[in-house]
Amino acid sequence: MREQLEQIHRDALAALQAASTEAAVEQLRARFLGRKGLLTEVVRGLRDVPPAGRPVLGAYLNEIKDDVERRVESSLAALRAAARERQVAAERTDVTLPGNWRVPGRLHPVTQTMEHIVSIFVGMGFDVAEGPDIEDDYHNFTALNFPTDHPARDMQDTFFVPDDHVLRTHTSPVQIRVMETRQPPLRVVVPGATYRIDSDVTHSPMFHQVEGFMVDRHITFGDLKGVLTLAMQRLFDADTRLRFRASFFPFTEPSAEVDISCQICGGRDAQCKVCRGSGWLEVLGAGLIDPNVFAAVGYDPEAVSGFAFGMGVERIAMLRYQITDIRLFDANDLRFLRQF
Amino acid sequence: MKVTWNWLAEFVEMEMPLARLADRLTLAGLEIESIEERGRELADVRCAEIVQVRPHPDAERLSVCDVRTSGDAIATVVCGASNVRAGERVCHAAPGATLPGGRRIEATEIRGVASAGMLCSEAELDLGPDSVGILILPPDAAIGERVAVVLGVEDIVLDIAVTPNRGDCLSVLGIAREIAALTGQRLRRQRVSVRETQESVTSLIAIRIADDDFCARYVGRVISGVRIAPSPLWMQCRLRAVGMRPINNVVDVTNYVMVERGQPLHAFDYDRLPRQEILVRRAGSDPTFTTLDGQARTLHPDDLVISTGDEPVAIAGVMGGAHTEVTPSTRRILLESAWFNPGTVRRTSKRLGLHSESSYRFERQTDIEGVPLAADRAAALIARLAGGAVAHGRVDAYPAVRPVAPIALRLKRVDDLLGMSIPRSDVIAKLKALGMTVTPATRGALTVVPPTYRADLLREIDLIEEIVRLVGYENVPTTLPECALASSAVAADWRQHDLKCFLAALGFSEAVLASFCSARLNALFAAWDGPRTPVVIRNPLTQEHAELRLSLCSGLVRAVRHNLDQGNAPVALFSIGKVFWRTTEFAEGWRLAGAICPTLPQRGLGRRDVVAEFADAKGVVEALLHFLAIGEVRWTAAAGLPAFHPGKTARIELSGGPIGIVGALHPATEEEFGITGPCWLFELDLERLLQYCPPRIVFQDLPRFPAVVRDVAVVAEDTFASDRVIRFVREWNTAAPWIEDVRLFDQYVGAPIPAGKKSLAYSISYRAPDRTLTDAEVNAMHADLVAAIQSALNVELR
Repeated sequence: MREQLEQIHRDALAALQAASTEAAVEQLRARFLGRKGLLTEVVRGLRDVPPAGRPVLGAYLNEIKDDVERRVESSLAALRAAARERQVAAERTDVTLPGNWRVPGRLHPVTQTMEHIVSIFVGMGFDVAEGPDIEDDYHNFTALNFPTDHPARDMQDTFFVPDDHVLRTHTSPVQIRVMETRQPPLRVVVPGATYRIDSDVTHSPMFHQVEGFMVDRHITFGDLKGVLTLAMQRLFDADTRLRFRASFFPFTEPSAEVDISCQICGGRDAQCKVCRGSGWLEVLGAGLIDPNVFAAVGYDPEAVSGFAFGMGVERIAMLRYQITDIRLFDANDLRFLRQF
Repeated sequence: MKVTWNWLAEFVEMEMPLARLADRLTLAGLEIESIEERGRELADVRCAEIVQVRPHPDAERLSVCDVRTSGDAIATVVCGASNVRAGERVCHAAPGATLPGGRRIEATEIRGVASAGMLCSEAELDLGPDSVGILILPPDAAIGERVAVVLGVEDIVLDIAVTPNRGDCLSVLGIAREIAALTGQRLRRQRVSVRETQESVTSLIAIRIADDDFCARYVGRVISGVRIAPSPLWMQCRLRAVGMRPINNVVDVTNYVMVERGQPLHAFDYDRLPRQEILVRRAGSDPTFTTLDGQARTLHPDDLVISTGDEPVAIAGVMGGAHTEVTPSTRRILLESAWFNPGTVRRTSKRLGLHSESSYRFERQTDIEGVPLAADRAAALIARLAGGAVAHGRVDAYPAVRPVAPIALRLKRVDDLLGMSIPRSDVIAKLKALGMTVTPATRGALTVVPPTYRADLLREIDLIEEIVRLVGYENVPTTLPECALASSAVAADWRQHDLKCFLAALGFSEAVLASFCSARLNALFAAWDGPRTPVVIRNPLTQEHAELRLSLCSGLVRAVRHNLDQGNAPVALFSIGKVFWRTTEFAEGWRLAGAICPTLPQRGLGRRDVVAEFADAKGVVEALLHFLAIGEVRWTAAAGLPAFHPGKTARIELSGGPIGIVGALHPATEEEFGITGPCWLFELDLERLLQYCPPRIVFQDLPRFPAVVRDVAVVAEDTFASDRVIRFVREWNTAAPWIEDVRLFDQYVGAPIPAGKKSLAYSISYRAPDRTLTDAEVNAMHADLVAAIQSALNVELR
């Protein structure tokens, strides 16, 4: 019987050697290990073996069964791996074909610039406030120290709507609206649309401003310089220099116009088209808040001081992206928008 | 305001180099807008003397002139002008010279006679209109000298932006004062001496002011025996350099002195005044008046006029009358130098739409103490240039001298506001440099009296600005404020930003649209949430800008059209902005709108001819609502919106109120805009939407037991709204506790479904929070529900 087992074992290994497909191996497994398989037959034959010899023979039988089983499994695994290998090797994709996707849109450069400016001031502890586009004469002019019949009103060519209202010519009326309802200390930034009768390559009848102001005890002109310097360096780059020039706005005194060093030539190119060789680009109007403005909102100018500033968003976007015609902002051409 | 370097040099030493001076002025608030060097184009033209003139042998109209160009050098020039005479000094352009406009002069031969260059006319030198004769220079002009130097053309013109508060800087004198203060130079006093006749001016004219609020001072001088002619070239050149047109010697003098001293002047033809008395008064009931530009002007009762007898002869500070204008036959001049109220002049000039150099200066307030000196200076110049004789003295109507109010200046206040310490002596020096009288008040304060020409200095803060202007803004230390970290409990709201980014990710680019709209488009794209009255602009740029928009859609459709025209299809744009309307007051509200035409931009194979459907546009809005975590909205068909397709438009309601619309542009509107559709639009009321946005997120436990899903398909009329089943299921109380969700997953039309009907398939999921539902339970619930749907909605089961 032992010889018979050895023979079966040899036959099984030889058959396994010869089997080259999964099906052949499965068939072989059935032939040797299945319910009616050769080894099972032998097990049945154990009944005829004397009891003393059974354990030894039984152990041998299990050994052979396990060995065949293990070899069958490993042969199957190898065959499956080879088959997958062949399949994968046959699969091909033209990786240069385009992907399927929805083209994402872009935010308008005016929005991106405005949000950038606002986030810089929010980072410095400023609150954000907004106000109506349709303003009354009082908030747009009178409270901001524009006397009636004063040429200062000509500085801002105004669109009028009925009932002594205007389309706000600047975001500064929001200064008044905030100060009318809140008490110092205040640090507020005001983004918004503004309107002036003006239309050419650098002016649009509707444009955007970001206004900012700060009111507290002991605010100085030096503080105004400091805050704006920091903000402009964050907006443009850390090497940006600022130049403060005396100017006039009815609602600030002393008033300043603020230039930044030319972002294109850095002041080193006398032929520079952007700064026209001056090395400076005007970006801000600013100043200490005029005592008359404080008086209009019921603050005591002896107790508090403050500064205010304003900038044109389109102007800054034009400098940031080197755009030369403001009308591109109005056209909303996708070829333009998709660049930002 | 244009001034020239040489003119300034008559008032102040111009020592500082041009570039530095320009910088200094700009930093001090007088922004130099441009610098123009004049006379350079005349560099090649020199003074020469005609030695001999003989006729051209071969041409009747030409002469041959020998001209001395320097020392003994003689050139022979053929000339066509008739005013060539031996001994005259003329302008010679030698061969090789270039004339203004770039014309190059060559040695030529004219009808057989060699000509070494050319003798030039005024026009050829771009100095004036005369092109007939050659330009004759004064007899003392140095031979060989550049003509530009002889005529004083060589100069530098500074164009300075003067802010509205600085009326005192609208003159050469005013700019010179600033230069003196900024450079530490002394101002040169102009000596004016008028040679007068015996005849007293008071015998010639009487002046009375009826309203000294409107006119605080009026000075008159009379010059007799003038001969009206063109001004000398030097004056014409200066006037042209500062942008004024020369007219005649008298008018030019009034303009010249105005530019020089900032005091507007007017010259009347004395002999055409109806009476020899001037009354300055309000127009009252005077009806119309013809100004010297020939226009009949209707006056307002409050306009200030200069009148003689009952008749107005000028609108004060704005423009003189045609009747008393200086003409070639004028022999006697009444010269007016006055101070008019800035507000009065401004109101009149605005009302009449008449803006002149005079009104510009009066509006910005002139120096009341400069009135007589300007009259003297002009009288002296007229006498010199027009050969008249000045009557003795001036009539000076000056009802009440107005003293300048002193201002108290606290030195500590200066330091506190500027954030730096400025020594008392420096403060005093700066103020004095600006012409102020400074006297010590107490230890910490000064009493300051500004000069009469600085009407803008009324308060302490005005003086502080002057001090820092002279100190230089660049010398104020840059500091950062010491302050609380923040003062408001309300954080910045970035939800608009989040929405914009979300829409961009869906494929939409952002359009920033102007708030303006034409009346026609406002009617077409009216508000969808009720009738609205548009806001009308009283002074629109164009009819396209006549109103403020009621909807963002009109602007979006225009932007779509632009992009289609540029070949940018497919186009997907969104915009967030305000719309405006009127109730009893003005109202504004934020809207979010989008447009898709004809599809969302996609990339990949097989996507070329895809066009968006209603479901795509609606899907964008649904995604947006999902993003905002807004729950149930109701969609209803919306016909009757004029710009929209009546069968492909929906109104969206939230909690019973309208929050937006989605729909296709009406084919007629597409045609009007020249758009090849489909063009899908949506617009949402952003403020209402954000109101319904949950203020904070509250976590819900994850379900612990599985859901069981059952489907139901019904056959209904094709007009049956699919959401009826959904709403019925949601409201069906019996099984409600375990109905978790209901969704339409298929719509089918065609065999075997009968014509005119459609099949709708819904899936309903059931879930209990505390156990796994058994099949038997779910089946029973589902059967009940299906039966209820069938009977309540009158549909068949499929």
